[in-house]
Amino acid sequence: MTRIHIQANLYEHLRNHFSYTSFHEGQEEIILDVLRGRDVLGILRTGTGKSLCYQLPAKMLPGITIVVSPLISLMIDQVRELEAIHYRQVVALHSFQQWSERQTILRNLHHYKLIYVSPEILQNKQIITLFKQQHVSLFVVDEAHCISQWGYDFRPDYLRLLEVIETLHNPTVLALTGTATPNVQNDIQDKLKRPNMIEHVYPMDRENISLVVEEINGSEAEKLDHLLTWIKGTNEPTIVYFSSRIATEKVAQHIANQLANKRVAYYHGGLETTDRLKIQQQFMNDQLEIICCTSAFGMGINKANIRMIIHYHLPPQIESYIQEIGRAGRDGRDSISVLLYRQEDIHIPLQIIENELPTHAELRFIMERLIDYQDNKVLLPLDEDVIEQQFLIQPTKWRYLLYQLEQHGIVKEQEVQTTESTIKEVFNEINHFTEQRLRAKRQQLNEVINWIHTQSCLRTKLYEPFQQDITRKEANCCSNCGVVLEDSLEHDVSTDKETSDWQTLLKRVLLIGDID
Amino acid sequence: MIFRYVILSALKNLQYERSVSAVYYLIQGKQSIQTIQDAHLFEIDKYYRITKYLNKKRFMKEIQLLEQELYLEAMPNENYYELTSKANEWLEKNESKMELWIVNGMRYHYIDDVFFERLLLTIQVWANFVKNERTYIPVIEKFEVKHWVKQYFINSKNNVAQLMKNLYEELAEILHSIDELYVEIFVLQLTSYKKYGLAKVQIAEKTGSPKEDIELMTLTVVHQILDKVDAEPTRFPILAHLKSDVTEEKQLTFSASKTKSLLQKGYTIEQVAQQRRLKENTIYDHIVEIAIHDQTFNIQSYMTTDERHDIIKAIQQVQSYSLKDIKQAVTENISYFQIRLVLASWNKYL
Ligand SMILES: [Zn+2]
Repeated sequence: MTRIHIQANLYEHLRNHFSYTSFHEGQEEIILDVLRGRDVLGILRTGTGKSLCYQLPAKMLPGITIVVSPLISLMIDQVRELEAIHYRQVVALHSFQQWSERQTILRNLHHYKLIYVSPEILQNKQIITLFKQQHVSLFVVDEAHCISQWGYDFRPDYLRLLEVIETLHNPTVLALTGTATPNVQNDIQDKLKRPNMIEHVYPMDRENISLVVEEINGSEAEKLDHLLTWIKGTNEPTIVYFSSRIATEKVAQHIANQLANKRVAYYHGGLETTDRLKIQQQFMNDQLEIICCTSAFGMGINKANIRMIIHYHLPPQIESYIQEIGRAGRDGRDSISVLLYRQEDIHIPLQIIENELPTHAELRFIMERLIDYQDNKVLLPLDEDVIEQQFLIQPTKWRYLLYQLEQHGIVKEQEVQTTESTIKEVFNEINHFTEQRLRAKRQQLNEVINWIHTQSCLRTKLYEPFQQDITRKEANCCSNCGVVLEDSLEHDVSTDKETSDWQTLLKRVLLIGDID
Repeated sequence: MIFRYVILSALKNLQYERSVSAVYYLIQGKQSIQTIQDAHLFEIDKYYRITKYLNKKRFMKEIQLLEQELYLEAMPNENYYELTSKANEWLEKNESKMELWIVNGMRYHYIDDVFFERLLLTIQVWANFVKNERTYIPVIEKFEVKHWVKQYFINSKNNVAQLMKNLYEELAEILHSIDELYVEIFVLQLTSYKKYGLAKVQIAEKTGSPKEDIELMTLTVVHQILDKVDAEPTRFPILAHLKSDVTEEKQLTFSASKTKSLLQKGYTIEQVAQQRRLKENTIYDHIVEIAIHDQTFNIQSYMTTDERHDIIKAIQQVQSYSLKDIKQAVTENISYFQIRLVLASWNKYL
C-alpha cells in the first residue's frame, strides 16, 4: 500500500474506533512508522494520548498487539475505558485475576487484537507458550523508562522483556514513555537491543500551567492553612498529592471539617478496588472537586478540566513531578501547579527511600534464614504476611529481594538452591547493587531540592534536561517570574449534600418520576 | 461498634477454648473443618464469613486496641484472651441496639456479595440504558458478574423502564421493615446514571463509624433481602432472579478447584499430586475442602460403607469433633483423612 492509502485508511479507523477526526501532536507520525514495521521510541507528554499510538495500529495490523504495562490498575483503567467506547477484542492479563477468568482468556487468545499484560505475567511459561503460537505483530513497552536503572521508576522485571521479545519471534517494538532524559532514552534502546529505533521526541512543557513553589517558614499547621487558602480560591477539580496514605485521610478530613461546601475525598492504594473505582468515577463525573491522594491516583485519569495540582509533600523525583502536574489543564485552559514546602519536609522522602530498600542488617538476616530453608528442604512461602513474619521484612522490600535472588539463581520457583560460599558472594553483590540504587534515589531527590531553590525561571529549569526549546510564557509563568492570580474566589457553590430520606434517594437512583 | 461486638461476643461464645485466631478464621471464613465445626458447636454460625475481606493485620490491631482499652485481658497461652468485666458490661449495654443487626453468615456467605454486586450493576446498566448513555464505566469489575448482568440485560432490554419501577417496589417493601440508618447506608452505595454511589470509606467518614461497621451494616440489609426473597420468591421476581444460579461450589480456593477438575477427569490422588507437583497431603486437604463446600460430593470413593459407619459411630460415642479422640475410637486402618471427610460432609451423616 502507498503512503497515501495507509493514511486515508488511518483516518477511517480513527473515526470508526474512536470517533475522532484528527490526531494529537506526534500520534500520526508514530503510528505510520509502526504500521511500516519500524521499531519506534516515542516520548509524548502525558495527556496527549500516548496509548492511541498502539490502540489504533492494533486494529489495523494482522494478529495480536501485546502491551506491557507496569501498573495493574492502569491497565484495568485502560481496558475499562476502551470497553466503554465499544472498542472490542481487548483484554488484560494480570496476577490479580481469578483463575477461571484467566483460563477463559487464554483459551480464546486468538479472539483478541489488543492484550495488556503485566511484566510478571510474561514470566509464566504456559502463557508464553500460548503467545508463541499466536501471530504477534506489535510488542509495546509502555512506560518504557521503567527499563532503565537511571529512570525514575526502575522495574527489574522490565529487563526480562528482551528475552520475551526474542521468544515471540521479534515483532515490531514500540517503546513509549512520558518523560525520559537523553541518557534514559539511550538506555532504553540499549536494554531492548534496538539501537536503531526511530525516535519521536516531543516537548513536554505545558504553557498553560503556571508553576508556584511556596516555602512556608512555620509550623505544619501553618502549612495546612496555606493549603486551605489555595483550595478556597477555586471551585474546580483539584488534586492534592501526598507521600503517605495516612496524610491523605487526615487532610481530607480536615478539609471536610473546615470547608463545609467542598466535596472532598481521599484515595490511595490501600482502598478496596470497588471503593477506588467509585471515588475515581465520582471525580470524573464532577461529583467531587477535591481528591487528596498518593501517587497511586491519576495514572489512568483522563479528565480534561483539572485546574489545580497541589503537592503537599516533596515529590521524590523531577520526572514523577512533571507527570503529575501534567494532569492539569488538558483542555488547554489556564491551570496552576502549587508545591508547598517546609524545610523540615526533606526528611519524609528520605525516610521513604530508606524504607523501600532492604538494609544491610535485613539482608544479612535473610541470607542466613535462606540457608535454613535449603537445609530443611522447605519451599519459600508465597503469602506476603507469612514472609513478613518469618523474615521480618516488608512486602515491597521482599519483592525487590526475591527478584535479586532469582536473578542470581539462588531461588528457583520458591526453592532455595545454594551453597554457603555462593550466598556470601551474592550477599555482597546485592548489597552493592542496593547501595547504588540508594545513591541514585538520593541524587534524584537532590535534583528536586535544587529545583525548588532555583532563583531563575522555574519552568526553564524544570524542562531543561528534557528538551531544547522551552515555550516562553508571557504572563503567569512561575513564582520566580511572577504569577498574578486573578481573584477567583467564588463561594456560592451549589453543593448537593444529600439530606434526603432513603425513599427519595432510592427513587432518584432508579429514576422513578424521571422516565416514562 | 458492631465490629467490636462481633469479636467480643464470638470470643465469649468460644468459651476461651480457642485463641483469637479462631475468631478471625470464623468471621473471615476460613474453609476448614475446624472453623466450620466451631461455628456450629459454639452456635456462632451466623458470624461465619461475614467479613470476607478482613486481613489479619487489621484484625490483630483491633485485638490490641481492645486490650489497651481494657476490654480484653491476655491469658497465659499466647493469643488467648479473656473478656474483662468492662467488656461484659459493654456487651450487655449494647445488646438491644444489636438486635437491629441481623445476619446469617453460614446461610448466605456464598451468595451475599454476588447478589449485591449483580444488583448494583443491574441498576447502573438499566439507568444508563434509559438515559441513552452508552459509554460509562461499570461499577463492578468482576468478570462473572458482568457476564451475568449482560445476559440479564439482553433479556430485559424491552422492558427496562417498567422493571425499574418494579424493582423500586420490591426493594421499598423489604427496606421498610429495616432500621432507617441501615437502609440509608445501603442506598447511598447504589450507582445510577452519571452518579456513582458512595464508597464504604466515604460513608464511614460521614457517619464517623469504622469501615468494618459499614460493611457489617450493609450485610444486614443484604441478608434481610435474601431472607424475604427466599421466603416468598414469587412476590419479589426481580430480586429472586438476581440471586438465581449462584452455587456454593464457586467458593473453592483456586488450588482446590484445579484439583477438583483433575479428579473429575478420573485422575487418582497420586496422579494429581504428581502432575501438580504437590504433596499428597495437600491433595487430601483439597478433597476435604471440596467436600465441605459441596454437600453432594461423593465421599464413597474414599472409604467403604462399613468404614463410614464406623467413623459415625465413633463420633457419637466420643461426643467430640476432636480428630485424635475419634481416631482412637475407630479401627486402626481408618485414616485421619477418612475421618475428616466424614466430618466435612456432616450435614449428610450427622
Ligand atoms: Zn518562569
